[in-house]
Amino acid sequence: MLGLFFSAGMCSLERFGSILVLRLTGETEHRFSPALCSQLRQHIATAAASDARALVTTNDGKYFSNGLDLEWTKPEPQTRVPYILRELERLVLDLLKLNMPTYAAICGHAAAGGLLFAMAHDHRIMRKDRGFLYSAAVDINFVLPPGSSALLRAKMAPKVFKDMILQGVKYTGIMANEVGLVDSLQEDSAATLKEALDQASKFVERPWEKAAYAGLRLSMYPELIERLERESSSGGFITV
Amino acid sequence: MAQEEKEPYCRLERRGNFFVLTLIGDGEHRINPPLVDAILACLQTLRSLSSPSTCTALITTGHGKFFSNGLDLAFPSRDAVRRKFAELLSAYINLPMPTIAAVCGHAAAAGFILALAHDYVYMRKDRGFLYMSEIDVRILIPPGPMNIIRSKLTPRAFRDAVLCGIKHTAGMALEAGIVDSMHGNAESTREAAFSKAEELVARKWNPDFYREMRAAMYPEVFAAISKTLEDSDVSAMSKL
Repeated sequence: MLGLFFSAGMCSLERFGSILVLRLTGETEHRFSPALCSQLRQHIATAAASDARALVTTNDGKYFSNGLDLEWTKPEPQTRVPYILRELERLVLDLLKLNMPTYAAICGHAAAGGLLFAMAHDHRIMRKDRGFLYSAAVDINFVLPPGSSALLRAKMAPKVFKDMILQGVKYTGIMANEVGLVDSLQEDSAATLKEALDQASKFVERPWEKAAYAGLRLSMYPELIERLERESSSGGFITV
Repeated sequence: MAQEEKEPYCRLERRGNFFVLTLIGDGEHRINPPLVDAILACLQTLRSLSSPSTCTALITTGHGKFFSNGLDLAFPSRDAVRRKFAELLSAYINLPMPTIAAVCGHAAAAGFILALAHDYVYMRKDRGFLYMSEIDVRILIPPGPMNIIRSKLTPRAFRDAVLCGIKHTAGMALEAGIVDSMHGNAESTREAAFSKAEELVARKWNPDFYREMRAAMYPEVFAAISKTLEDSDVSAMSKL
């Protein structure tokens, strides 16, 4: 029950009954570096092997995640950018294959890679008053890898996908709720997490089976999964 | 030879310049080989009665509490049931005319898919759910049906229907964009469908062109259903 707590420095995994809470810890931007991706993947692997029935991901501070760790990629962008994109896609794949429903309790900005990470969850609950969902890729001439693009396209209404990616629109919580990017808005971080836990609690009580849940999700997005697997395998892909 | 008169599974009627196919009786109209064969025979008749140069329209509706409660899981051969369902879907999506499902009762699982395989879905407001029960009964959804749901629902409604197994009332279905309209009771639902059929017939579309348009709009649906039929031919032959 309470008390199962793993912390690897940049993120933690805590158990509440049959729900696991994955938390991006500290007042940082939670940017995706090899270290953070690796720790997150380890926690998700722990979740997959457990008998828990839901995963809620949330964050401390002002950022859910502000995207790739550009400090890390700066010394050698030609090799490090593809590397970290691949790591992020592996993380996303882990979430898409996880054998339980996933809820992102978004308590701050989710930008670029952070947006991708949020959209890789089954459900999204967001703070009303803080944080944007956006992708600034178009403003920095960054072409989305096809797998990432396919994920966003699979989860967003066509107009939202276009406005998000081709126009770089910044969605506040209220805008995001209006266009169906998130399922619910809450007053503050505590309420956002609580709502995610409440939704998860209701769903875990239903008699679904974990393997069937995972199988159903895979069969909903087969081409997406296949593309992500191809791109994120060693050998990977080339961003032009 | 004395034979008990069994109520037919369905009946095709001409009304003015369009047709109505009614699933007869107060049962669940579960999809199995005899029901499908009866419907296919009606659709064959329909094709022979319709003009090659100008579209008619077909309304599918049902008596009783159910539009259809899904596949007949009690039928001896699950393979035969699945194969027949694919044949049924193939017949509907290849009809060279607009199709309207007048849903006046529950449409669950394969029954929901059958409704979605129509060009328009009208639903009664006061009774009945649309429901993908697969998540709760731990069955996977095959590619043909999965492509139908995915092609007709927004990403969010798709997630809600498949991964959450939400039971949609007509109001919920209308808001989610799953049905085109809702009406007070069974009779008004059917009447509205009749009006729509007349409106569509008055457009004087070319039947072959109409079918080609539908196929061009939903290529993955057509491909997945054709493949199911080919594969089951192959596996049937390999059992000889």
